[in-house]
Amino acid sequence: MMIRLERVTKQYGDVTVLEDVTFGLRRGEVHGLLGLNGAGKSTLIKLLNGTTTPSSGSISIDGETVVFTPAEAIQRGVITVSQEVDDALYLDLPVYENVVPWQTVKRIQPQDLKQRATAYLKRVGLAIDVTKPSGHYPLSVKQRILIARALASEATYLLLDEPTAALSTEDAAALLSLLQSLAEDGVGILLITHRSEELSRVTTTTTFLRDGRLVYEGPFQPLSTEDVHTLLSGTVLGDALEKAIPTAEVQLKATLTLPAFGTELSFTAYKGEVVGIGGVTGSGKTELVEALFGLSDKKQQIELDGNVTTIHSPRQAVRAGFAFVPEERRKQGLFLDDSIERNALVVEGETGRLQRVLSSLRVKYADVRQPVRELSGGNQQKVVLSKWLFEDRDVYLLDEPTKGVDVTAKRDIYELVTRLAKQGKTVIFTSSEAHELELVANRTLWLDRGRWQQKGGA
Amino acid sequence: MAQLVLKQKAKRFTGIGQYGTLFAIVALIAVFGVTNDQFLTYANFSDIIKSVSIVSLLALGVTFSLIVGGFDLSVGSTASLATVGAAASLVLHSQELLVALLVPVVLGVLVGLLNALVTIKFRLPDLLATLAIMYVINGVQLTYTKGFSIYDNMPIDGGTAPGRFIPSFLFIGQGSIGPVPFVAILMILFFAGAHLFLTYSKTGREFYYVGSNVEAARRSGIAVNRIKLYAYVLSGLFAAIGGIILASRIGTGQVSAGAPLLMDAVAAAYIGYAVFGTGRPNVVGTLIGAILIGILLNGLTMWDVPYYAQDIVKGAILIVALGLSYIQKKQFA
Repeated sequence: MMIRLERVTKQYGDVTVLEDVTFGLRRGEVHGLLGLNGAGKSTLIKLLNGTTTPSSGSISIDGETVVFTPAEAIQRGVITVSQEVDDALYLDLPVYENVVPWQTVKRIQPQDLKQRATAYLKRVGLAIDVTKPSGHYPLSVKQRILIARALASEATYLLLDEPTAALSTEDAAALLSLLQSLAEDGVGILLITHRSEELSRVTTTTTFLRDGRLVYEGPFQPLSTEDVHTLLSGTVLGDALEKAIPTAEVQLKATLTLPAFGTELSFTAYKGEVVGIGGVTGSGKTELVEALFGLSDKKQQIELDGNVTTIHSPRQAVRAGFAFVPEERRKQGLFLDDSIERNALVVEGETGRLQRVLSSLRVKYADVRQPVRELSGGNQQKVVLSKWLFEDRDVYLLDEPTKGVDVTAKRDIYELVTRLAKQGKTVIFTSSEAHELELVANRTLWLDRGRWQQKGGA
Repeated sequence: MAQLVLKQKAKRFTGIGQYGTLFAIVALIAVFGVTNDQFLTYANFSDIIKSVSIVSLLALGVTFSLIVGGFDLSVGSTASLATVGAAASLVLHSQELLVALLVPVVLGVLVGLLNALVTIKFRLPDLLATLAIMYVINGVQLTYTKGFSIYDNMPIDGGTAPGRFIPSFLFIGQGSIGPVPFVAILMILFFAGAHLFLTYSKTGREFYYVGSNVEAARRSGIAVNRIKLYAYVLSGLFAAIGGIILASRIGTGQVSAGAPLLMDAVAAAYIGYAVFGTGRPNVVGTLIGAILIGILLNGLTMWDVPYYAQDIVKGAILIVALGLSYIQKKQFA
């Protein structure tokens, strides 16, 4: 009893995102799925739930080969709980209308719907007012509402994309227990998570994907941290960069207000230092760097090289000596239909050094007039970085600069960061991956819901 | 491989678009020239240039707003407002040339600022906000003029208006330098200036960045709100200049004079997307678009196609122009 991918390859245009992957999810198991951004996890899920079809290879359920649409996949009990919980819920509608799938409703009888919803919610450990709109509840509850909906759809296979990423430790633990009990009831559960302790606690098998290939399938517990790193990135942890040594000169001293969390964050960064900011999605990393770059609603007072400055707009932050690489490369970093040249020259507009700057980053391109849309994620990110390299900046704010970037481009970005630090620049580098921060940062501060995790400030 | 094919397709398509516009102009001249012997005359071409100059300046305004990712629907009513402003200065207040030029220009800039206010500060969608402003401007003119045109020797308060359209003002729209209509020179100057500004100045280049991706532009340190403000002010300004030429040409201040120009201007700007195969608003393309429309409307008039039926043609042209720009966008997506 399993859903199985048999030698599946998936290509988008000339880009191969999954290559010759054979993978099975059995009923009754909790199966971990691990891989860096861009490794092919989402594509694997999309193949399992019918959102996309394989370029070659086949999919089978319980031995029967299937080619299904998303609706047919749901009928056969393959249910996905995506990371974007809010997109999957009708936030304005009462909970009970969110739980009971409409395909199973023949005649609308609110009383009956409420009863059915309450029963399913009970199975996921929720006793809430089902007449309230689902948007009224916190994320951890919304997730359970989605899982209850999956049960109501008679889920036999449940695919969860980083369900614990934005949850507190207690909520995450409770969710994992629920998943385990569902597995005991015979549901096959695919769990994507970056948290090692979760994988070793609940999974029977874990599959690692790297650059579209399956690189490991087996129990998670025996793997060491080094093994996990190697499986994920293909590089050996420890063939480290020669980091710069920070000076004792303070470059940046700030107490930032984060309106999204209603918190204040203090920290100091030195010249020649790479400060790592770690944390899961929603921990406040982006809010922190955006506040420094004048993108928060509040004016921020900071001390730059001993001078007190108020930052209220990106333009002014640029004038003050900041450089910024946003988290959402395509939406916020690039002019997708514009050429490499135009993208690289947006800040300084100096054509003369274009080739040199691009080659120092090892950007691979055919022509500088090529639209950046045609480049790979890694090369796109390098183009975003390049616009800040024509003129000296004092502080580089890099928000998840290696997200969706392949391993070699990552290496190039790490090297650039180190090079900048050696020139005496300050780099603020955010990431959700601890091993990456270990590799590149002189010091890492961890965030949790807008607060420093271990201690206040540094 | 697939990408390569797509690129080739895009190239082939833009080839058609690029030469297509110029080919259409040549074909129209040929057809109209053959069917009507009055078409290929100096007098007629001088007429075409005079009407193109007005439409093209409004279209230039629209182009600025399109470049930054906005849309200014108020250019037609701004042009009307300018005719009223100029006529009122001359006829009702007996002012000299400078005032008759300054009043409409200031009015145009004010409309631009108002558009900037509602789109940038209040964050209303450009299309709807400028539509609303269009009505406001119309209402202001109607209120001021009580719905009447302003013309020489018009009756007021039992007598006639004290001032008149002075010759120096009328020269703008009606005069020539040698064989060249003065408006042609004005048009070329404004378009060359706009083209040089957008291509070679840092601020001008920023217009395109803002239109391409406003979030990325903001995060590259571009003052996006200021750029959008400039675009709307320039749009209002050029619409007003178009209005001045219009007033000078017809010798009256008319409330609704600019209204039919909106459609022509928008179509010209969208035809401009296709002209150089860039799939983007651009100044030179807009000029060529305006010329195309000018020739077409002139030829249709000579064919005795009534003006109300010409709207059908205009609408159809706009659909084709929009279609071209939309297909081109998709090619890159």
